[in-house]
Amino acid sequence: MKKQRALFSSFFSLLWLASMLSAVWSGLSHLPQLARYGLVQSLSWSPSVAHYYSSAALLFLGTYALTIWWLQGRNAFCLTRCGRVRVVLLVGLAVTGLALIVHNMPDYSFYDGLYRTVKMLHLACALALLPLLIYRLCRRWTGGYGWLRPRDASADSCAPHHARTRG
Amino acid sequence: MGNKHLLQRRTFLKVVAGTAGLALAGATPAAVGKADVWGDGDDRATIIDIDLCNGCGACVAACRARNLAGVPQPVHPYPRPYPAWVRNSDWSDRTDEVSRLTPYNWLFIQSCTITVKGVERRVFLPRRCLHCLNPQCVTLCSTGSLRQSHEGAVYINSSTCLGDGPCDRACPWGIPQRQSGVGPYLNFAPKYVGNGQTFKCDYCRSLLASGENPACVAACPQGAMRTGPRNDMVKLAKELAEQRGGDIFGLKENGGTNTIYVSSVLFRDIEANMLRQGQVGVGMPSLRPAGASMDKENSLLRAVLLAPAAGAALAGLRMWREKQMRRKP
Repeated sequence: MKKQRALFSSFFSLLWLASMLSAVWSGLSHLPQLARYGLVQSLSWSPSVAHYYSSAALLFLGTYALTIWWLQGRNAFCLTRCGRVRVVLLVGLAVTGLALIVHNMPDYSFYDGLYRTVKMLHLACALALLPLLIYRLCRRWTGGYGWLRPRDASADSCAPHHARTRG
Repeated sequence: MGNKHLLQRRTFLKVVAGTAGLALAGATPAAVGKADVWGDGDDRATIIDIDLCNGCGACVAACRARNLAGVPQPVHPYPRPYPAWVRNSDWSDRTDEVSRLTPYNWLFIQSCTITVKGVERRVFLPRRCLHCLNPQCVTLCSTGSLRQSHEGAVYINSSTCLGDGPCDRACPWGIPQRQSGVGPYLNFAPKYVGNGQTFKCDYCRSLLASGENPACVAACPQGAMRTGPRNDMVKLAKELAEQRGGDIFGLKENGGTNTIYVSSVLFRDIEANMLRQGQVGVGMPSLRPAGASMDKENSLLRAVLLAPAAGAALAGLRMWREKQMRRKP
């Protein structure tokens, strides 16, 4: 089997991992349980500022990755089922996160229950990423693909369903 | 036939996904069209005229008459939280305390003696939540229990508050007050998560929503409190302050609040006298001129919004470079 050239460098993966860890840590630091058990000193630093920086980094890297995959990698790679769920969760995180940022602006708010729903959705998307990551690691260990799969992989081709029916 | 079937299925999936998305966002398509779930609001502010207040306490009585019965009594003995440094807070045996803010008392009269131009006078300030325009307690509440209404009331949803959030520390004036042994945390793991509920003035939001005045405003016999659209109240406050050569508190504090104090005496002088006379402390908020607490975060907005554009630009640059490389022999 011809070895596909990786779409993203290991440096990119490292940056992504660092940004993601920073976002998760600063995000979870908003939970009072972390301060309660002494895991963060939420009185002395603002987790929100750190979360803003890490979300900016993730948006930067995420848009970069999406653009590269869309324009260059789509023909060679496709998303696995795991990858599709991850994209949905990341888009959910980005949309709800941006909504929360807008809410934090003066003169603009989400009122009553809608605000809580947006907040809970943001948290749910973040928490759902963890089991997905574990599942993905298990898949890799058992020889499966991670987020992306080469299109010429023999096992269950990822060509779009309508393309197959047309063909 | 197959393609037609496929298209129908795809359309169906799109409709299902769209509806699910809207439902997850907590809004039915009808609700999305409603302007009162988001936007720039229709803030209603209250002017409290310190020169008219004589400290009669009618506002406190009205507030208690309306709200005291709604604050639950704790279970006894309430769970001892873990770890040991988490402190319980119990005011259930002091529900008649009106000299400070407690979970059972959301409004109190703060007072001090002050000498102005050689004349001694007593100053009274009805103190309660100021209902900030951009409240940090709402932003930092992890369960989303602290919310803002369309009319600008900042209130606590008691069905989801676990009582161990940072709202009391986030508030520049320490307004929210905690009561242990009450609330939904008792149904989960009360020793390890949650610590009761926090309580504070909700600006009588149901009254505000129906176009009425909050109970404290309606009860004031001196007419020291007035509620109306914030822009009008700001204009009026400025006029009153200008007429008396006085001062305003609440226009810019913490980014602006929906409670605006007006006085002929400078608030920094009132604050200094309050401090000297021991009238400021836990449950007795200061008149600290807090800056907008979300300023630092909001200054990063441009970076967050520009990040996707920068990412796309970098991707374009990479592709252009690779194209150039391929052209080279």
